[in-house]
Amino acid sequence: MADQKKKIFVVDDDKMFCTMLSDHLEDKGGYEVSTFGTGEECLEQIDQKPDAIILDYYLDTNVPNAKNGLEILQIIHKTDPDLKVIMLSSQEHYGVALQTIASGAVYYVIKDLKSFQEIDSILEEL
Amino acid sequence: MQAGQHVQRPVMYSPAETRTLDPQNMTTEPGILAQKLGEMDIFHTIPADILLHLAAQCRIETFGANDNVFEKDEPGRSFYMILDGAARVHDGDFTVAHMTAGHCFGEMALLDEGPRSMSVSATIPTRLARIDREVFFDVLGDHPDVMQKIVGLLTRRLRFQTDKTLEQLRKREEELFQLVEERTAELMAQKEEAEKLRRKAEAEKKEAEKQRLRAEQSERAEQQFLANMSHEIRTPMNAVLGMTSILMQKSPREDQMRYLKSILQSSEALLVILNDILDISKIQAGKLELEFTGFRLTDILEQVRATLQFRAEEKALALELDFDKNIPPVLIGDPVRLQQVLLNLAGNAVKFTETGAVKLVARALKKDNDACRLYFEVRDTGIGMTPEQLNVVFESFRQASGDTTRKYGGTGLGLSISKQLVERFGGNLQARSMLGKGSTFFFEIELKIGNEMEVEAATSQRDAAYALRGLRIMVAEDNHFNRIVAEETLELLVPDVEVVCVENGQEAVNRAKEEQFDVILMDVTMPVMDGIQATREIRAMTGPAGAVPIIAFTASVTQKEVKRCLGNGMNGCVPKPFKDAELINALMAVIKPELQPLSSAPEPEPAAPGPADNRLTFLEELTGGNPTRIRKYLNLYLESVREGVPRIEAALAKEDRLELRKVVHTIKPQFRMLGMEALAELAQTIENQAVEGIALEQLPENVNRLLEEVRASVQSFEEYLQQS
Repeated sequence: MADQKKKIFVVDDDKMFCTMLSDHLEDKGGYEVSTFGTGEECLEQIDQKPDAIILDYYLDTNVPNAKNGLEILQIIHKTDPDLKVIMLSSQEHYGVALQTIASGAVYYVIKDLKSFQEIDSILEEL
Repeated sequence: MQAGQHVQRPVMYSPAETRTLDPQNMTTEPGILAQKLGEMDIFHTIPADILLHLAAQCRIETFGANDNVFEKDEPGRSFYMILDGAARVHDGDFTVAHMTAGHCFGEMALLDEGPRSMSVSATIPTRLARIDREVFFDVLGDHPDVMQKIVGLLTRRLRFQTDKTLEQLRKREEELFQLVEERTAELMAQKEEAEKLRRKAEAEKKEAEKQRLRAEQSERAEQQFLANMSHEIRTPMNAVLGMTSILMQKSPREDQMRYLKSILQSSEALLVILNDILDISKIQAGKLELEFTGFRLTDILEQVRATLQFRAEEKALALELDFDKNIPPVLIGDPVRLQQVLLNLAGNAVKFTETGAVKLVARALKKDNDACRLYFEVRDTGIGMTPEQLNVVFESFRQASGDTTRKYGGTGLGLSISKQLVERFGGNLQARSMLGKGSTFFFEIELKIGNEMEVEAATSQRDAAYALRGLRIMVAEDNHFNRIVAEETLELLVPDVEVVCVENGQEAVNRAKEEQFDVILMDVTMPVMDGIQATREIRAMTGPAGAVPIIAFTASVTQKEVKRCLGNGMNGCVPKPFKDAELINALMAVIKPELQPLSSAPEPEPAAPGPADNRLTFLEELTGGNPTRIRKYLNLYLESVREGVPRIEAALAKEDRLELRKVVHTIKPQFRMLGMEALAELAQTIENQAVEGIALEQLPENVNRLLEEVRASVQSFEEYLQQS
């Protein structure tokens, strides 16, 4: 079990952050990371049973009419309530955090310099 | 004694009587004996006359109960026959056989006079006939055929017995062998079972350890979440507080004022609780680090007394300080946390005492060159506690009783926090109490001794802040969060400070016209009227109002920006987000320039960082200085802004707030990740303004500034990429 890599999906239309995070996780080892620019793409692959999904809150910047992270979270939570979803946001609002936690996210991470460390420790706990 | 009596009483002879058969009695005793011998298998075929001859040569011996006939290992020289009575063959206490009248024993002695392997003794009074080996061979000497027969028979019997014994031995050996095998198997099984149990126990232990780790981790995560959440709640709470204060200053009606006061009080109470939760979760999540700086204990105690003086006076309580003069003037430690503990203990003491006194004691227990062991005690004459209450008083969320919460308020976290803080100091907070008499809380900690130099270095900032005490400061800042942070920081650092907050330049001008301020902290970018314009208008006023020192809050400390501020009548600059020291230094520079430490230049360092300066620090750390990665990320950033900038421009032109917010929001984290914090802040401001529907005319200025900065960053990153 311990040797098996954890499968992580990263969903973020911010390509730079997405790439940095996926590089970071793969460098750390123990993770097999797939990245998606929209939630819809992620949902198509959801039957791959990832161990965790790191999901950005805003996903409709580059693809108009793309579902936002909260909707995707709710869909994921409905299909697989046990699937761990970590929400990403650059929004430091308590309300947004609360909303995602209430919708089944296990954690709410603010995108900043500390977020990688935070994600590391969360993934270790899952 | 008559001969006939022997016949009639053939059984009883006196014990140990030994005699030879009387040849005269041959018709009687020897006859009977010969007959008995003849019934025995070894003498079966022996002619009667020989038997009679043998019987005549027998000696009759009598034995009492338990008398030995012969002992083990005695040489066997005779053949015995039980006439009457009984005997047993035994090996020590172990009886091998029982014999009664007619049985013979010792017949093997006729073949071999080696030592006997068993003993024989009488079990009841017994009479034996005994034929000695010599006599026997003497008698049979004349009858070699008879002798041969007997010897043959005895030999066969001997062989049979030996075989039987061997067989028994073999059987016994087999049994033993089997037993050993069984026992071994049993032991093996036991061992295997033990091993299995051991493995199971080990696995269980491992699992328990794993569970424990998992529990610890999830507890830590929970506490971190709690800490984060309390902070998240604190921010809007601060906004509620700040805005309530503002409303209260806007001359509300009397009833409105009552509501506002109620909001203020509730918010403050909530904030106290939040701060406690934040503290305890910080401690429990292991995030609370003690500082080590030089400080004067007297300052701390004075501070505690000053804070509680009013509350004590209100209740007519004496608040006494008992300070040991032997305590070194300067100690090294965390003055803020020590004060928090003492203030909590003394605050509780005042809270729970109705009459009498609260006494704060500090003593030096042991002092050497480097360190001093200190004893602290807070004693009151209050309501006290029962032993049961005393037991739980340090637990989180526990007060001495449920009533306490209702009557005295509080979260019940204070003592738990204090206890854990004292533990961080390496001490142990303890309490003794008597119901109705009062309580005493005490602890010992050891602190290093410092010198004046250290305290000067450490407290220069605090001293500076102290020098600023009692100031009346206006903060003009449109961002709620920044406004609250500024206010909180000032209130924390500067004793007795009065902070008045306004939201824009116009308000700042209005207040400055009507009221006297010692200093104004002015955000440069504000709605309605920006900081530059406001400064110009204030400077145009006559009298002291026009001379008030103004310090700019600037998001970007560039040479150009600083020049613009100072050129328009401002006296200094503080970059946002500011550090405590920067704020204090800037205030000192304009208020008490004579106290300004070495960096006496009143003009703050116009630190205009080149766009690529420092901002790659995180990228370098993250990638381990991997140039390929850095290039990759920078290219992604460039790609993203090249796409984003035209979209922002278009959105601005079309006044499409939603699109503007969207694009700015997406790029914002990239600014952060590349270390452009000021730019991220600006992006946040634009985002907020776009959402809040701030007057659209305010947007272009900020957006254009953002675009300008982004373009500058693009240029510098491109240069970096070309160089590397």
